[in-house]
Amino acid sequence: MSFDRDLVRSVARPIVLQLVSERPMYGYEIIKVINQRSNNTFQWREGTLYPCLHRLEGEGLVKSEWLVAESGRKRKYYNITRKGKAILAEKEQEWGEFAAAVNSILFGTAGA
Amino acid sequence: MPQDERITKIINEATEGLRDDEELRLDVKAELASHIDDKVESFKSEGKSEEESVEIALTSFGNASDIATELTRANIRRMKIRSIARLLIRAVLVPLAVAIVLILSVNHCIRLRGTLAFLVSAGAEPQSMIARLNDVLPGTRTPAIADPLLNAQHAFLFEGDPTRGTKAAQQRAIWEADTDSMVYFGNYISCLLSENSDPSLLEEELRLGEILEPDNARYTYALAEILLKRACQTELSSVRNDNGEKKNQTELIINDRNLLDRAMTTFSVALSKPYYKTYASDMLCEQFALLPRPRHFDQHLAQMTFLSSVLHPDIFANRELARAAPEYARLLIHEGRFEEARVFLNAWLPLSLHVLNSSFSIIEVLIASTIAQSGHNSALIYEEVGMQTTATAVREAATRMATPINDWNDRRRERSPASWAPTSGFLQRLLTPFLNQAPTQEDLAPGRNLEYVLFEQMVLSLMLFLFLVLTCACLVISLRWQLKLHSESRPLLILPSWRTVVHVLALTVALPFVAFYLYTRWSGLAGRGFSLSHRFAPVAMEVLLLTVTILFMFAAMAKRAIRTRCTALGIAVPEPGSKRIRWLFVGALFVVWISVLIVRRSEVGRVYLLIVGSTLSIAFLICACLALLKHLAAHPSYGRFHGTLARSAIPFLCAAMIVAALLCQPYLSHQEAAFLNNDPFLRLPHEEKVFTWWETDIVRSLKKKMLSTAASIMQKGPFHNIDETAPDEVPVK
Repeated sequence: MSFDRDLVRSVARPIVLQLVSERPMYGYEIIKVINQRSNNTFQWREGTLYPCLHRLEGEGLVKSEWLVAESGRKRKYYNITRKGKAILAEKEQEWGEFAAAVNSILFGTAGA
Repeated sequence: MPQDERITKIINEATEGLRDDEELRLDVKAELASHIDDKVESFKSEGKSEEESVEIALTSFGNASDIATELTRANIRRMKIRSIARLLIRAVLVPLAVAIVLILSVNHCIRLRGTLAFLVSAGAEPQSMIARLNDVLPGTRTPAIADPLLNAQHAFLFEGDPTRGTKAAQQRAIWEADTDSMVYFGNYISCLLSENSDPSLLEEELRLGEILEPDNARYTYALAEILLKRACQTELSSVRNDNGEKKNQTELIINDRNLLDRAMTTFSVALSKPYYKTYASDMLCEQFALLPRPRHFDQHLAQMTFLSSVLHPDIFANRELARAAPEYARLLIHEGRFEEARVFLNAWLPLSLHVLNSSFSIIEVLIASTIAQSGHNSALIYEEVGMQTTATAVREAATRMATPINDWNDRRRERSPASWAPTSGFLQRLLTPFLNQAPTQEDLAPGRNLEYVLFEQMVLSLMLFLFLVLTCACLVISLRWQLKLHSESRPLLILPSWRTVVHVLALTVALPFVAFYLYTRWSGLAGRGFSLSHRFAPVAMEVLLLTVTILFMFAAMAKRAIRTRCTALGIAVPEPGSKRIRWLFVGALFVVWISVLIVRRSEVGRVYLLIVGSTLSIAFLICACLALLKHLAAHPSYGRFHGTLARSAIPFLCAAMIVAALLCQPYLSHQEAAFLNNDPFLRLPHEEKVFTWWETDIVRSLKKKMLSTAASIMQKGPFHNIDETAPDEVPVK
């Protein structure tokens, strides 16, 4: 199922922030985790992830570091910053209230 | 693994919008390439072929131009910030660092030139120090040079009206601005007397002085001396008396007897005046009140030179009068005018007291003592006329007046400066022989430490200059590869993260300097209880080691940071040098540091330090030349790395120069000012009415003794009250 582009873009930031807050992750790993956790409902591509990651890095919400994995591959790992954590907490609360309001209107329930 | 051309093409297209920031573009390219590689590997692990895996990875990558648009939008803010950062590096950081180093170096060179010239030429003769000060810094008679902040109003008190023809006329302008001030008039008269002024003008001004200040004998003495010079010539010769003792005898060659009588009458008028003042010390105090306390050693030397160039034109004139007086008395006695002659026979005492009372420098006290010695000539004349009792009394009085100076000279000769020489500074070693008591270690510490601070400032300048040379070498390497390589693979200016910069600068610049200061100031291991000249070899070795350690650590860490970044960006990087050699060098540095601490106090240590220091300097120079050649003549396939390394090292070097200068220079300047302020030997008359502290101490002590002697002589009554009459026939020639 493909989603509206603007809808995906609006949720991309909190999703990426949440994942890199769990542990440092590289781009391909983030896409894999998103696809897994959404049961392949989301099918993110490079064109969605990397611009989002770079914006977050430009705003100082994540920081990156090139590391060499055990396999010998060098990868760029992203990690959340203190500022990013604060923004993530705000976004989680904002999304919770927003989703509850939308569900309430569309389905007459507060939950999904 | 060589990258599939299709992957390269799609990545190039996707990052097209980042072309303006080559480092960022390379970074994104490497990230996307890593992503596609992971994807391909994933498909391959599912059993798909290489070709199939690449095909699927590229298809799922999406539209490259759409990605390019998104990536450009996402990175536009970062690109702007990075572009500003690069602009700041080129337009602010590099010029600022170069300016700081050049200003500091040039400033230090100018200041050190004056200081070193003085220190080198002053030699070991304390007596000639003041003369040498004048030779080394001839321009400092005008202290505007010593203090460029002196405003025009203040400068007037030093220079007067510079538009006037002669120095005396210029100084007269100061008095004209405040005609009530006898200090300014006295200063003008000093200038007038020291110049070969027009005699009629001189006489006119001296007569004005007599009108303005009738009780001051100075003007009358000066008038008497002018007349005396015109009336006769005094010739000094050595003769042996009946006992075979060598005596100085003055002979008068008279040109104009009437004029001589006028001169000596004027002299006798001066002798009877209540006081004698030249106002030289008062003028100095007024001038020094306008000068700020010196914050730098060269300013101090300049002010000291100014002090030492204070004019004493009267003292030699007074000595001439003292020499002529007994001979004139002899002439009068020969003419049967004995009672008139008595004034001149006894003139040495009031004249000596006049000079002594107004004296504030050693030279004036010495002249007062010399004048008192002319009492011996008077005693001879008393003897010749048969007045033995008076002769003995006069001789005894003259000898007593000279005793404080003779004792002081004897003590100076007996006291060996060797006991405090190892712990005193250079200037102190010149000045302490004059002192009446041995200086304490507390007295010596500021001057001794001041020399260390001056030396450290010079070393800091040299170190910063070395950083500047390294920056130039990096520029040359960077330009070489920029010209050699085509536009696609030209060297980059890598922008390191602030964390990397702070890490490198803190560990390789700030930490060694702080450690060095702790070692030299607080540890007690550096042996700063001894003077710099006493421990020059170990101190020079310490600063050499500090320089080599800082440069080596800085080069290694900055290179490592840039190399890591180049590797991440996919720039071809040559194999790193052997870690073993690097650690061997670190170990050798450590061993040398320890050995310097151990051997520096032994005699063998000096030879060891000389050998190790020379070896280390030569090895360092050779390594630096080899490194330059290696980066210039590297294989072109690594040209981008070498160029990038050199280009990106420039901001590191500039930041290091700024940090080192800002960390050390204010601290060293503060210490220099504090030591200058606390050094009792170098204190100048900014607050007290004194010459330099050391000289004032001697002058006060000698004056006290001589005045007390004079008081006891006067208590017994003047010599002409001795109950002894002159014989009717006077056998004096």
